[in-house]
Amino acid sequence: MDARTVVEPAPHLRLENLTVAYEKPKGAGKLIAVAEANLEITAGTFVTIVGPSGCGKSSLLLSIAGLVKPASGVVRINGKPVAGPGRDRAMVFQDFGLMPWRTVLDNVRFGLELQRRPALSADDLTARARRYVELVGLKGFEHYHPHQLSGGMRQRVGIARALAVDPDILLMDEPFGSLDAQTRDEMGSELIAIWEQNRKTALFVTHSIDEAVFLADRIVVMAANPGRITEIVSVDLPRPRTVETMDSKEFIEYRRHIRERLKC
Amino acid sequence: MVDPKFTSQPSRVIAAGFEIIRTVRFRHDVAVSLWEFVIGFSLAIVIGVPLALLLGRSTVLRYLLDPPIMAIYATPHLALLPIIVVWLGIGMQSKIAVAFVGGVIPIIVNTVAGVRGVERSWILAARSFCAGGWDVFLKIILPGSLASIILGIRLGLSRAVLGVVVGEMYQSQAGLGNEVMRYGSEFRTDYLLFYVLLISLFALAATSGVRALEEKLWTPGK
Repeated sequence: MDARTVVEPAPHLRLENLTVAYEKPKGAGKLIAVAEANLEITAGTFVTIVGPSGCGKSSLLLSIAGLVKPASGVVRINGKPVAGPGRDRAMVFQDFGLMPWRTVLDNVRFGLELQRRPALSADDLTARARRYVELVGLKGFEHYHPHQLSGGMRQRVGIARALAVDPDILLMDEPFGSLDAQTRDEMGSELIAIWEQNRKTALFVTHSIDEAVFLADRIVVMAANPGRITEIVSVDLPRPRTVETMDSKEFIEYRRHIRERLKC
Repeated sequence: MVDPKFTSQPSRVIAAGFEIIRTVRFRHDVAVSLWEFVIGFSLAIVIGVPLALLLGRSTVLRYLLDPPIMAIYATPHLALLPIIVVWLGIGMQSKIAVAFVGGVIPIIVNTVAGVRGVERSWILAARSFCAGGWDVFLKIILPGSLASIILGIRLGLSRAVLGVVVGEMYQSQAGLGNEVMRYGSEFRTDYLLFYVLLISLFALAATSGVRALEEKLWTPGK
């Protein structure tokens, strides 16, 4: 064997012929949201999923989260098929999914409470939630309620809630989709800065080509009718990435390429 | 001057009140009315809230039980008094039943609305963090509909008080409504008004109590 051969790490997340279908109302048959998707993601990769509306991006993510049962095919994490939600994954939602009756701190604590960790006392959970509130830059807002926060701040809470459970895989479903353009850019930069600290596997669904290129190691391009993966693009932009990255020739080239791919 | 048969003066009402509250009969009346209210309304909460939580979560149950509940909601519950008296007699049981029927319907209707108002995204978020059915109920459904439950209790409360008082006025042996009816037929307006005042004050105090609770538990931004 060639001495220079490096042992590749086992694929961490793997989709095998994943098909997701929904029952149409009034028994009008089935809507195929994702058809026969195959994908392999190595641990520690930041993957963005980009595609037009109705291409099954969210369905793909939800089935990885274990919140939607595939019609056929399988999602495997480290070889084990996914049967439902698990502690190894945490999700960030487009509409935040925050509980209006909970404060910022209690919302961040929510996932930890539900995942029941006997080793951690109630105080430990709170202390840990507080750390993540600070990590996303919300120190001083611990006792605010979601309605008192801007959209960007609410999503920081959503991200902190997901990070607080220390997942192996972070699933984000258009997390910045309901934010204005400027907040969106800021959040993207901050997210990537946080991610670069520990480089967990991340899957990030988006409509925005800029966002998809800026964040990704790999971009999964999808098409609609039926929802399917059409191309997987590796992004070789240097890290850490900053606002200047977006002005580089390479960035613009990637962006052009993705836009072309989405056209057809 | 107006004939004191038709109305009265505050001084006379207060004087009547001082006379009344010293009597044994008064204490008995208050005890009877309060007991009828507390039992009837507690039953309304204890049965109404869990039933409505179930109704809110189950489409099948809602289809089954919504029509009769709406029919009772639309019926003035006091119109059921005669038949309730036929079933349960003129004792406390019939008042407890009217207080229950009056109180339980607003509690059910509002609690169901509260449960139906629980957003899917909250439940999805909870499930993504491995919440089971019981977790979803305790951490999402219950806190998410709490404001509506309390609102139902506040609205049901005045209907339960009304049920007790009118029930006593219709057929009874004791209670504040019984006294209102008696003094009314004797044209003792000052005595009558004292009892009316007492009932209003009770309803006001109880409603304010629930409202204070409502404000304390109020969910910001919802």
